Formats: sequence, C-alpha cells, structure tokens
Amino acid sequence: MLQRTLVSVVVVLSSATLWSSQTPSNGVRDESDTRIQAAARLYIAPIEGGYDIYLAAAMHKKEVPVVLVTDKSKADFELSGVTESEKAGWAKTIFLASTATNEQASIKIVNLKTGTIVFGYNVNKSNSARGKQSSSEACAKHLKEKIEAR
Amino acid sequence: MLRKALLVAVSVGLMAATGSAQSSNKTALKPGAKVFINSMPDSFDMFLKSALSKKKVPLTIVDSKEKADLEMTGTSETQKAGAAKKIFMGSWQSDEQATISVADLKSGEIVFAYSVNKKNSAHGKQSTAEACAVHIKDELEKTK
Repeated sequence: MLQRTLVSVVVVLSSATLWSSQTPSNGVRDESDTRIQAAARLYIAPIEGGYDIYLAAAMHKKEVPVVLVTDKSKADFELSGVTESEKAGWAKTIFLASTATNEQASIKIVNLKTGTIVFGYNVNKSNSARGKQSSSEACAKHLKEKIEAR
Repeated sequence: MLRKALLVAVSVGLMAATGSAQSSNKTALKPGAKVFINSMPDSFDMFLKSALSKKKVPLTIVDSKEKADLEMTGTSETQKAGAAKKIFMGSWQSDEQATISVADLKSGEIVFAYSVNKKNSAHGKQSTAEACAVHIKDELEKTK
C-alpha cells in the first residue's frame, strides 16, 4: 500500500516537472498567436539616445506585467524601436512661450520563438510635457493594455 | 489514504511548476548591495555617484563590474536655454532629462528603472541625479 502511494507520488511529481519544463514561460508556440502572457521575459534592444532605458523606466512605473531582461538569449520577446525629438526653436519660444519638445516614437515586439510581430505602437506628442518620458510611458501603457486584454 | 497522498502530490507538483515561472526579480536590490555604475553620456555617472552619496542611499558603489551584484546604466540629456528663452522668458535654466536602469548581474533581470524630466532645472544635472537617487532609496526602503 505504502509502496503504491510512493510510486504514485513520484509519477505525479515527475510528470508535473516535465510539463513545466516543456511549457515555455510565455506559453506561446503557435505562429498566429499574437498574445503576450503576463510574466513573459522581454529584452529591450538598444535604441538611439538611450530610449530603451526610458522604456524600461516607463514599464516599471506603469507596472507592465513583464520581466525585463538584459540578455536576449534569456528572453521570450524582443522590443525594438526608434525615436525622434524636435526641440523648440526660437520662434516657438517667443510666440508660443513654450520650450516643450515634439516627440515621436515607434516600437515593435517580436516573439523570439516564432518570429511573429506581436505588438506595434506609434506615438506622436506635440509639446510633450516631459519629453521622452511622456512618449515612453504612452508605449508602456498601451503594452500593458495589450497584455491585460489578452 | 492513497487519495490524500495523491492530492498532496498534485498540489506540490503544481506549486513547484508555477513557482519556477514567477520567481521574484527584486531580491538583488537590497540595502548593502554592491552596484557598478556604467559610464554615461556627459559624465552623468559622476553626478549619480555624488547624488547617491549625498542622499545616503544604502548601496556600496564599486569600481568594477566583477565585484558588483547590480549594474546601473543610464543616459542624460541637457537642453541649455537659448537666447529667446533668456530674453523673453527671463530664464537661464536648462531643461534636463535622464533615465537609469538597474540590472541584477546574476539573473540578468532589470530590477529598477526610473526616468526624470525637469523643466528649468534649478541645479542642472545635479537635480536629475538626485531625483534618481531619492527614488532608488525609496525602492530600497520598500524592500526592508
């Protein structure tokens, strides 16, 4: 009786371990599947002007449910993007009394296992209140919505 | 008896499976941790070192990545006041923006990140660096 119980325990435990090791942490395999699961591991590729760090900060602030990693080989998804800032010229400063910049940015997220682009977002902010921080937080907010909407 | 044992086994198995997927990523950011500050544009790393010291952030700054538990990277940008701003707005102060991220060197996970944007910054880069330091200190106090 005790032997049978022990055997059952071992079988159940090993099948649970096998199941967890075979399932990717993001649970995504199908190429047509564009979901990003909560707790997926995301690598942010370097972006000009250190915008990747602004994005990391924005994701931290907006509590986007992903784990940010610094090594692409440990990631399920890769985020890449581009950004552009236009500083206020003298005319804007004098006639509009504004020194705020115009910001635009675009990001995309690729599932590293399937190669599918699972998320893309563009943002354009005229008179950005907080420069790159504003545009990066817009990206983070929309990514969070995508993850939570599933 | 057998049913009970099976139930326990299944629960333990499931807990092990989910636990491995949701490991805590904030364990390395704790008071006393050793941090290496990477070089940053416009020597913002120097301002950060001073700010961490001034704000008494309980981290040990080390000079090599090998000795560190955490690595800090970041970038900073300054927009100096132009003639138009000086004449028509009466302001000589610069606009500053900066961002930092702190990565756990063992797990490779980013455990903290922060960005700051200051219009008419009273003390230039010093203000943004001190804002970063204060927020790291707040995060460390949360982990206590």
